[in-house]
Amino acid sequence: MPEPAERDRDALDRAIDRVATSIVDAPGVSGAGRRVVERLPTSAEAPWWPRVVAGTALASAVALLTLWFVGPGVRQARSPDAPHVAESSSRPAPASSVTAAAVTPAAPVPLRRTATGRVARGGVASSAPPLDESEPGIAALAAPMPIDLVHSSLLTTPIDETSSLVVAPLDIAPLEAPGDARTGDIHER
Amino acid sequence: MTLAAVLSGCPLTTAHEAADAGDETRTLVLRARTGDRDAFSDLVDLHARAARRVAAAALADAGDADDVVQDACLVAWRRLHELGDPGAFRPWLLRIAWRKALDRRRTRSWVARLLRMDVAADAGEIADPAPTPEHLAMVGQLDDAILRAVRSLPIRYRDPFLLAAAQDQRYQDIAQLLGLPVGTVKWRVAEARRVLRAKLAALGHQVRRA
Repeated sequence: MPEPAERDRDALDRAIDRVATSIVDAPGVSGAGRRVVERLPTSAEAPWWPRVVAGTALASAVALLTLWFVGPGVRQARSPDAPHVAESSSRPAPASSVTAAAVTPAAPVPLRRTATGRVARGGVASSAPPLDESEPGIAALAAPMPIDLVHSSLLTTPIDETSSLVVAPLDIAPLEAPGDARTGDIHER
Repeated sequence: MTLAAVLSGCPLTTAHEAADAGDETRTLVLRARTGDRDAFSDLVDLHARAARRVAAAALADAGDADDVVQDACLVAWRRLHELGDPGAFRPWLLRIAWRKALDRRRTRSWVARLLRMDVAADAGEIADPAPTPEHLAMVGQLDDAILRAVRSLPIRYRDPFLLAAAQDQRYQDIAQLLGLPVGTVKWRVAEARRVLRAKLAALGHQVRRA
């Protein structure tokens, strides 16, 4: 039972009670049951777990079938007995060991003159007669250049210092240090 | 029934009314368990108001309480078969509503922190939203000051204070809901009132004897 002193509330206490009640008790709860029932899942709606089980089973079946059909091919392709694997090393060759013979085509493709007069390698033969590869310029174009030769020519060709592309080092006199260069002392100007 | 009577621990309804409500609840729960949606609708109508007050007490705002009650009722529908005693539906639903409201309060607090609002994060308090002009005109300056003071109360005081203000809960019910001893609940409600008086006095609202 409340004590007499508690019953003797002041105006501030009554205001506190009124505001506290208004916080938790607002109108507008009628029809709550009907609104809730409208949101209830219908009986025709299937539960979620059969869909999850079916999806998992389907995904597993697809994965198994993929492994069944593709797996042997992959294993065979990776086995050292496979013909294309036996011809070459399983590891890629280092770049330095690439030889010109490995890069150079087996047979040079003949040059032909196209209908517009351009010189092209291979392609559909035009009515123009084949080029005479005995000519010096044509022979140079026709002969495939080995990679080794290209590489070495780039390295061994001396730089033409007279070329305008070569920039001579600038002759810039060192600035005078404001201090003693040997001791490192800096004198203020 | 006044708040004073509620705070004193007096029951809100007579024993006869409570027995009738208990019997009706039990019957409705048994029917709802068989899939009777109308029975569940009546069940919600019977207890939604109390659940809404509990949710509003946790949120210190009746705005989101309806959504919380809807969520709580959906959970109750799905787990109705887990309820052992059909007569205990009401405290069971209120506990669900309370937990749902706490989840929403936590989410609201995280969002407020993300938005860098003025949140007393350590105390778990929810930022007091700025009052609208309509609200100020409606409740007046004193009521607005009280509203802000109540919302800025520490959670440990505010929860039991607002649950007691809901007028549906006795101290025993509040203690069960909060997982606290009854004495602690009583002390915290009294402490909340003392803190509110002090805050309002600091704002210039002196206690005036009626």
